[in-house]
Amino acid sequence: MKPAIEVEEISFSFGGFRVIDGISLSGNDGETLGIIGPNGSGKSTFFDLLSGFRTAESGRIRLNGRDVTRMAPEVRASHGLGRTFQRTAAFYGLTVAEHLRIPRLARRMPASDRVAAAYQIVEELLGRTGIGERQHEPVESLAAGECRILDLARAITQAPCVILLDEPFAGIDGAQEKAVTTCIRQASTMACVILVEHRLEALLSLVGRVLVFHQGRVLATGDPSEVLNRGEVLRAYRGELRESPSS
Amino acid sequence: MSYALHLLIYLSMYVVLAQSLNLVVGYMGRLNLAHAGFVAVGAYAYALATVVLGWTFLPGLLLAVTLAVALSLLLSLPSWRFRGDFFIMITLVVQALLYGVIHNWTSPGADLGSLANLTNGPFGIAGIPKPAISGIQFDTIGRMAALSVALAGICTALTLRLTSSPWGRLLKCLRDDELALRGLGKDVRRLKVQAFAFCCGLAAVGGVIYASYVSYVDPTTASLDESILLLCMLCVGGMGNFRGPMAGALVLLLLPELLRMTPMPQAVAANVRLMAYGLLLIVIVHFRPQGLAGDYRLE
Repeated sequence: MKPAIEVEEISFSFGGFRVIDGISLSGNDGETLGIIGPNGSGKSTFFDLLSGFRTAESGRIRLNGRDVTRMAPEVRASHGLGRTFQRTAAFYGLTVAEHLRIPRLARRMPASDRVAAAYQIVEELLGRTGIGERQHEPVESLAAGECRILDLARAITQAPCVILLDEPFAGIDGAQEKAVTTCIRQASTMACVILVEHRLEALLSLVGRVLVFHQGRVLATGDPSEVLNRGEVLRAYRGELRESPSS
Repeated sequence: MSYALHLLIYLSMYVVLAQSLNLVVGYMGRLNLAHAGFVAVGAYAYALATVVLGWTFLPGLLLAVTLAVALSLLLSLPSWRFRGDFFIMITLVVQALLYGVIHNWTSPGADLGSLANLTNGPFGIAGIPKPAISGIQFDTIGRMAALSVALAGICTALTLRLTSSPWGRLLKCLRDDELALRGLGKDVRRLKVQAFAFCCGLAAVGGVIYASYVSYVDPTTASLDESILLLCMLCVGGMGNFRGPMAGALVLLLLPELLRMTPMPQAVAANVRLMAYGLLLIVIVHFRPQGLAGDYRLE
């Protein structure tokens, strides 16, 4: 079976400064991967490369075996890639229900078991967080944390095969965190979920494998509890690891 | 009575123009300075169709709209990647280009409508016949007002239908967060091309109302001043909904007329009118940046 996502040695520079340097990764359906690293280590840029908002200078990205390296974000989305952003992406003037219908407006999505399952997950998430009762309210009435949950819900309604979540726990409270954790767990049964998150406790409760980014490279990868105890990872987080790992 | 009907015709025209501009500025969030250029494209296409080719009103209107929609690609294709200042610069270039072509496509001695003299340059095209549809002549100001109001009603209903449809919702999403919309799988380039096509097509209808009423068009129809006036209507009335452009057209059309009634010499009144425009804009931007009846504030 082909991996849901396969990244082969991708690189990217801003001007002359290399921010992603030969990163490879592979994720299967049902797998949840975590990406951590200090600020500026290239996590969000890596997500931009995966979702097509930036184009890799070298390397390959495949979604379910299809090469999408040069494809535009909307085309990648139609091939099954969903993502949320570090900032919340609310469309003002639209209601909560209208937000959840945008993926269907944006592209043709034939009814399928997968789509039905995605909507079931979203319905449960909204029910647990109380947003479900406010379906007809404009999105302006939601708090920042609720907007972030809505972002997550909207990404799942795309029924993607790969979901990229950029800091899904930022700005949400304890009760909401529980609901979001359950939702991500459910979503990972139908897709490969990749998370970037600074709240390590939340991240570690979800992921089976973690990648530590440092200066645009993968510093360490493997089981979360083992990786986080490695000396070079701790040094990178404390800012003591100045040089790139291979140099 | 004639004066009131005259105002009604102008109001109808400006409602069409402000509603069409609202599609791109208010719903799509892109400041467009080329609108008057497309009004002129519609007016000139209609003038040439009726004066040179001898066509009647409806085929002339159809030609005007088709040409404006086709030329909207001039704006939508080069500008789709841009927003903010860069987008405004592109619209300014298109505005200057359209004005330049209309103003200069002339040659002394050549027949009007020929390839050498398509627009008659600064002299414009005179003698545009009054409209006639199925034998009904719109040759009185009352009938002309009825036709203008009917066209404005159709255009307004169309924009209302468009903006309240799923397509209109996507346009608002594009305005608020283009990247997120692309991430959800929407082809935003196609959406922008469609929005510009509707915007320019409706602008051409406004141009046809103008040309058929005044019976004359010249390059000032395509001037930057006209584009700025239309933008002012949106800034004053508001944008991003159906009410704002109506309010803007009404206020900016009636304001000079009210000033006309004040006992001032004509030369002074013209300057006072400009000052009143400026003052009104400053007051609105300061105290009510979303306009009198708007939903959206252009950043």
